[in-house]
Amino acid sequence: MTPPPALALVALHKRFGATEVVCSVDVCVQAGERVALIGPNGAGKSTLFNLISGHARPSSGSVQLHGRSISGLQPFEIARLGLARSFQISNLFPQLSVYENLRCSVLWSLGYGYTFARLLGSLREASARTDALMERVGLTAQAQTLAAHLPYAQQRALELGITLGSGADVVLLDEPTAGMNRSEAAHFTALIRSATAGKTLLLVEHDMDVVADLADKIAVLVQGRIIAFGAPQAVRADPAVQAAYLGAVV
Amino acid sequence: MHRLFGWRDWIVWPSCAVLLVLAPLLFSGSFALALLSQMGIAIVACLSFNLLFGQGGMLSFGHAVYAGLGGFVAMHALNMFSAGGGWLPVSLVPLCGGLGGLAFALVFAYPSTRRAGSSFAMITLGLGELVYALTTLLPGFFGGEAGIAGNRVNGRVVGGLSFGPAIELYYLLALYTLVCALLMYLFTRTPLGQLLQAVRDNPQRVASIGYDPQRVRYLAMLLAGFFAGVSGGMAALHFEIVNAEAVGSARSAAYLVFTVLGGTASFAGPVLGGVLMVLCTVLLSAWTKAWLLYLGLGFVLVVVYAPGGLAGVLAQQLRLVRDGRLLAILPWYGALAGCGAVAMWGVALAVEMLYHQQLHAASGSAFTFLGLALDTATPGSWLTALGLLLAGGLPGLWVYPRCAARYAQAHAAAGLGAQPAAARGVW
Repeated sequence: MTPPPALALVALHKRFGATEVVCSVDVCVQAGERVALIGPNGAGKSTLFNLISGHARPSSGSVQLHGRSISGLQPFEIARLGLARSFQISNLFPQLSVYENLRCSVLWSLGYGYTFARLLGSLREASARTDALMERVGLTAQAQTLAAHLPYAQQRALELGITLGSGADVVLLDEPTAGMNRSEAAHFTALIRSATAGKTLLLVEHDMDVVADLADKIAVLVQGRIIAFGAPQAVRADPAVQAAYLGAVV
Repeated sequence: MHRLFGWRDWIVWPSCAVLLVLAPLLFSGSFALALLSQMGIAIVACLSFNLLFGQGGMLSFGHAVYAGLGGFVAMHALNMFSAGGGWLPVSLVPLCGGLGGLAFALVFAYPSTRRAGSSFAMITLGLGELVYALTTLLPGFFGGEAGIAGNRVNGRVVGGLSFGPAIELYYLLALYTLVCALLMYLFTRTPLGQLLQAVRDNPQRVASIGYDPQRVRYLAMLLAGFFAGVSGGMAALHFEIVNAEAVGSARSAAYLVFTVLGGTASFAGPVLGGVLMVLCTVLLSAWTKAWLLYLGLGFVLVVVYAPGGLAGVLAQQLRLVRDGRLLAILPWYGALAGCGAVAMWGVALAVEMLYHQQLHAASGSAFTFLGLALDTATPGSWLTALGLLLAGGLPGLWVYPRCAARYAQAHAAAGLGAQPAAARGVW
């Protein structure tokens, strides 16, 4: 018996009033696969992410994580099941230091829960994991800097670090390289690749170099519908995609 | 950052303990001792308020509910045991108050913490009014207008302590103050304490790392309710009476105002706030009828010009001292303080004359204030007030922007724009 897909979207619909923002989306992401979700602005990509992570509820259809329906669960319940997401606009804890930001993200998966009977300084495993995470996203020198004081690119790195902190095996990244220059984006892409090795990845991205570099498969979302889903070459060659979206680029 | 207790803590906490032990020797006399005891009570209350506000971003307009109800529970416990209905050392009465505060928080915190921001504030306001209304509806528990009185000297002497002499009570309350403050400080260094600050900053992100922000807020409010209740129990022992005022909105507002005056961004802020609360409500109020007006004025000035409160101002000066830049600005500070004092003197004269006119007109129009003979019936006194206001205010308007510019310059030169997290507090 084959294992269920890591992430499956089944006939997913989202309506805001009369407007259909996401319309019968079916996508299957196998464990270990890296899928890029592309589409013009307003296609519904961020809404789709919110439906998956529990920040919005689908009007109909379901989201399945490792074969289990997670529709209707709260974001924190979904996070505990091993799904982590980043946000398009950096979503940090501005008045906490880089170190504290990252430490918050590792606590739940280490089983410390809501405890106030132990001091953080005594949690060696949490400290070790936080140090490793900080090293991995290249923020060790900024450990004591408040997140609010970081320059933009480092805020994006911290955003990625918090997302990876829980050790989730399904990772959703919402435009991780948005607003970066070429060299920053290339550096960051390499960072994402190494940091998400072996994990299932779903990524929204506009930069086609980043997509080509990271993705095994591409899903194209236009006006709330998936018009193509498959290997990059096949998707590029798809006339519907060329007409709707890539025409000018390819 | 990995240490359990930093070197600053090893200096600060023992110093606080020594200070608490020595304070009655420095300020002897029963009045001073009563002031010191009340400061301890206020410090615990303000710290528990700031656990919600400064650390959790929850602005409570009803914090007195937990302190006051804790006080009533403590007083009932004291009376029940005095009447011979069991055995409880008087020294544990504040703990009963804490459990009382916790018990009410278990119920009230649930509706409050489901929402953050202004909804939270509105709900706490509503609950505060509700509980205050109950004080007249349930005279059995609240004792009606008179409140509930008790006697801490109930004939039971435990370990040689009767708590009859004020000094024995002072050391008991000082011990409670120190232990509660230390526990609340350590709480900020636990996973829940850290998550509470994260919830303040960004509840949505907290949810995406596996924590339920509502649950974090709820648990924090239970703790705040407990410590507020302890302070209520301490107050019950000190005053030997608790009345409806203890749960009223004026008391809730006082916790808010003095915590903000002390500073909400650092742990030491509410401690300063608690000290200030006693100085203002006991000393300033005895000195002038217009004390609430001065307090309001001071509060507005702090919110506008020093949002970090007293602790924030002190912390900034300490950083300039460390950087060797304070000396250059000191003359400007002096000039500003001088102008401010003269202008404030003028304002105070006018305020006192207005109050005198309204409240003491029967005793004649002449009185003395700060050694100055004033007469509300003569224009000379009013002109003096106006003259002082202008004499201080006009040069002050010239000094202030220059002083501020020099301060900003020194601040920037010291590279304090991007502060490391370790330097956030006073310590």
